[in-house]
Amino acid sequence: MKNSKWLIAAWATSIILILPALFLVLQSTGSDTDLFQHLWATVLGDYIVNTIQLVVLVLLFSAIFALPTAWLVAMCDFPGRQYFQWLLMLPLAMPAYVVAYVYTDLLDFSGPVQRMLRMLFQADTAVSQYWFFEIRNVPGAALMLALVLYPYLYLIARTAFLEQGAHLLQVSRTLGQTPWQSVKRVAMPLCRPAIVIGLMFIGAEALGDFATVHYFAVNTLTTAVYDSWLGHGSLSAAAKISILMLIGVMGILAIERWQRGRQRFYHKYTGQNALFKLTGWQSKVAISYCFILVFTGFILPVTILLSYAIDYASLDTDGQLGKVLLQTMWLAIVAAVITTILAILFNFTTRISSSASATFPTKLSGMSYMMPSTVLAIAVLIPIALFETKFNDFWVAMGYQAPGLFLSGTTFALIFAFVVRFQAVANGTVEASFLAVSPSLDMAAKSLGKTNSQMLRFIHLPLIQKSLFTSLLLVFIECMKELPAALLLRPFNFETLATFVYQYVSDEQLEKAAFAAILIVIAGLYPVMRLTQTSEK
Amino acid sequence: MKSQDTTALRVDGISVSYNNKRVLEQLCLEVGENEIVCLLGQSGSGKTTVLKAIAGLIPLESGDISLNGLTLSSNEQYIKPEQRDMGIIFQDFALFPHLTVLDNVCFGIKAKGQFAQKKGSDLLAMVKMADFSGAYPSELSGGQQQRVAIARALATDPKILLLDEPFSNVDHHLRERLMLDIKTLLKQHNTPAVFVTHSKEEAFTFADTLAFMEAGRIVQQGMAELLYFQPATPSLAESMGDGNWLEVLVTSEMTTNSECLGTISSTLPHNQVLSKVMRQFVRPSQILMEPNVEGRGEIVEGIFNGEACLYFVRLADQLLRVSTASYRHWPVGTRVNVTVLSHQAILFDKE
Repeated sequence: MKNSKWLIAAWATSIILILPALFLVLQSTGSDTDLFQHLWATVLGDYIVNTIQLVVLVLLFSAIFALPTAWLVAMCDFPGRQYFQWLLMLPLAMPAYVVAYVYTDLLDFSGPVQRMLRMLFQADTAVSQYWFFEIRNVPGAALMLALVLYPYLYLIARTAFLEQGAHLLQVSRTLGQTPWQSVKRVAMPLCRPAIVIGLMFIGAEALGDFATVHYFAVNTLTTAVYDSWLGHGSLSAAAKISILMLIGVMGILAIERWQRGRQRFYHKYTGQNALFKLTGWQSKVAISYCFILVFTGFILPVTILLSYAIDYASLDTDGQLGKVLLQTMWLAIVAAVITTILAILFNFTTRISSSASATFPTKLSGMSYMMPSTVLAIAVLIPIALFETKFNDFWVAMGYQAPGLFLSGTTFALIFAFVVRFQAVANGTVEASFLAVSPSLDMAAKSLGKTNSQMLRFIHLPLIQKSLFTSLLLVFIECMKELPAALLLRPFNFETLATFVYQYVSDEQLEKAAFAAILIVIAGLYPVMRLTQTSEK
Repeated sequence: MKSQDTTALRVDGISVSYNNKRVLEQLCLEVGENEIVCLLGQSGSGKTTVLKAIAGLIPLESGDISLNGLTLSSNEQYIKPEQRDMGIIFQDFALFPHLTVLDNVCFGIKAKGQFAQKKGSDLLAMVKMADFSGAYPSELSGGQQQRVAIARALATDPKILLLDEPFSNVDHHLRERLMLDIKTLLKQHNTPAVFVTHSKEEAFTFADTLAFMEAGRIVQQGMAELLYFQPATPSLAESMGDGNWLEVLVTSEMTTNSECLGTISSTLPHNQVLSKVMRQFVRPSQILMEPNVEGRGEIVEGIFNGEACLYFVRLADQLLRVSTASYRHWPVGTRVNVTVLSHQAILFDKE
């Protein structure tokens, strides 16, 4: 078989990329259960309750933010609609822990909001003199996360509403249903799978969040994973807790699939979309609701970050920022190049192979994307640690000095984690462009005597170079932003841009890292723009 | 426009605009009780907009719409779509993909429970879809989806049915059977209907009367024969079937004269001014062709389409379309004599 070397390479690489998930499952059944049992008997119950509360509240807040705005922008006509379509996506570029810091600073006892209220009502400075809501708790953390995560649901729901077209709702009206009944009986049930996917995505992000909950001192399963590994050095306990989190995610997915049964929702209808023209108070409410979300999720935090950056520009960060930026860029570039090369391998193998199983490497390699970052970091550590132990034993047995943590103690683990996590991003981008290349070009190349490698080099790569660049850029940016995996896997005394910012956030000194935080926000804006453009198409 | 004492739907001078572009212009239409009216016209002529305006799905700029004497839309009154008692069937059928066939049919039935289920099941039996009540729309063929859409639209006992190109997504071999079945069904229910299509074959098969639309107006409404033999506009004449445009001189109230074909007789007076130069539309079947080695015409192309043969005949500087019975077959290059059979003349001003 001419294609066999491509197939072998694709299968072998995809198995390496899925190894962390497999080892996570194996490790979680391991015998080192003392710490896990201790945690189970003491704090894990509370952590689980906190996690469930956090995820449920994040989902609830996200639904409250995203569904009405998605409906308004997709199905109603009101002034500014075309701008809100993309403005509502901007909060996605904000790291939740930065937003959390900004709002804590704003709403704390010594913050400007409470100071102003005290001045207005001439209240005593004693805390006991008045009530003011506390933000550093589970609902507060959920609100911060929802403020930056709701765009996932907004984007998916908006697309689903748009793809329903007008006809289904028009038919519903002629069958005697009011507009509200039509939304309830037709539009919402049809969007349910899309809404569930959006919520799953948000749930996974909320479940995997470490920085925000840690900053708010809310203990969740992620905190437990973090402490089990970094505090107690128990990979087995961390794996067991990670598996608990994964079971939660997969359980929700399974229930939704089972409940959906044979129904087919993804039927694209045609027809005009802006059905309901809003005027008067309806239009004002729509504009206000959309604006408040954009303002609280993006404009206000960015403005405050900018003011920090200007006010504290002279503060010394030991000249670290430049070094951190270079280090992060190096990591991100390496990960981006590897994922893009692998994406070419997987997609080209699928293209040239006639067997249905040739699509499996692409699917396998992208499966880890839904894993929370913290879980993934633990999962990546397991095979690496196992390999290092065996290698050290072997080296000692051969009479040499053990090389130590030559993988987990270096940036290798971090790059591997980035590749495992973001392979799906590169696969998706490259796949779309491969599909756009007509199969008859392959036949023409073959008939002109070209081998597979020559066909890839001279036909496909020149044609898909734009999307290769996009893939590089998207993975690069995701790596620049990634925090939980970097926190767990970075070598000693090594910072990435995200860990650098987070370090100052946790020390309550974001002012010093405001410029770095702005860099992360700017990096985050590009994928947001891409997502917006894709959804427009 | 036709006028009946038994008018069910009356559309009186409605105008509609989209994005500041006038789509319907003072449009008038009447549909009698138990009558099926077909709106025929080119794409973009505003046919679907008429249906949406009747259903109350788009606002009117001016004009009135009334059903069985009740005003639905006017300057003073607007009845919401859900209160109009109308059924609508779109080209894509718009079946709710998350509901089973039976749930789709029962969707609009006000009574719930067993009564709704019984009525839904009866309707499904009527459209021969009883065996599919538990299926989802994605599991049905185009023709089956169409039947379910009909059953769903009839389930609310609509006072009128609006159909927007409902047969365009159905296989050709099923289409005619389906049209006749649905027509019978509507007649049994005494349900009037407005049916939109751009296919004259569908219009001829399904409708009692045809209304032809051009640029947001109805230019002619009547029986199929009227529109075919006495079209009001050149565009309508062409829409009703192929033909030849000849420049003619009106020579009497029953005749015209064409330079290449000589005198053309009309079976009815054409009421045109004598000696006026006009354009006459002659259909291929109205021209007779006979092989003759001395003939003035020459066959330059012949197309066999099963039921007939269409020939292109060069005569002087004119290329004529002539149809013959399919068993009459002549090769390209054959010399022929061409004459026009007496028929009801279709004449238009030259401009």
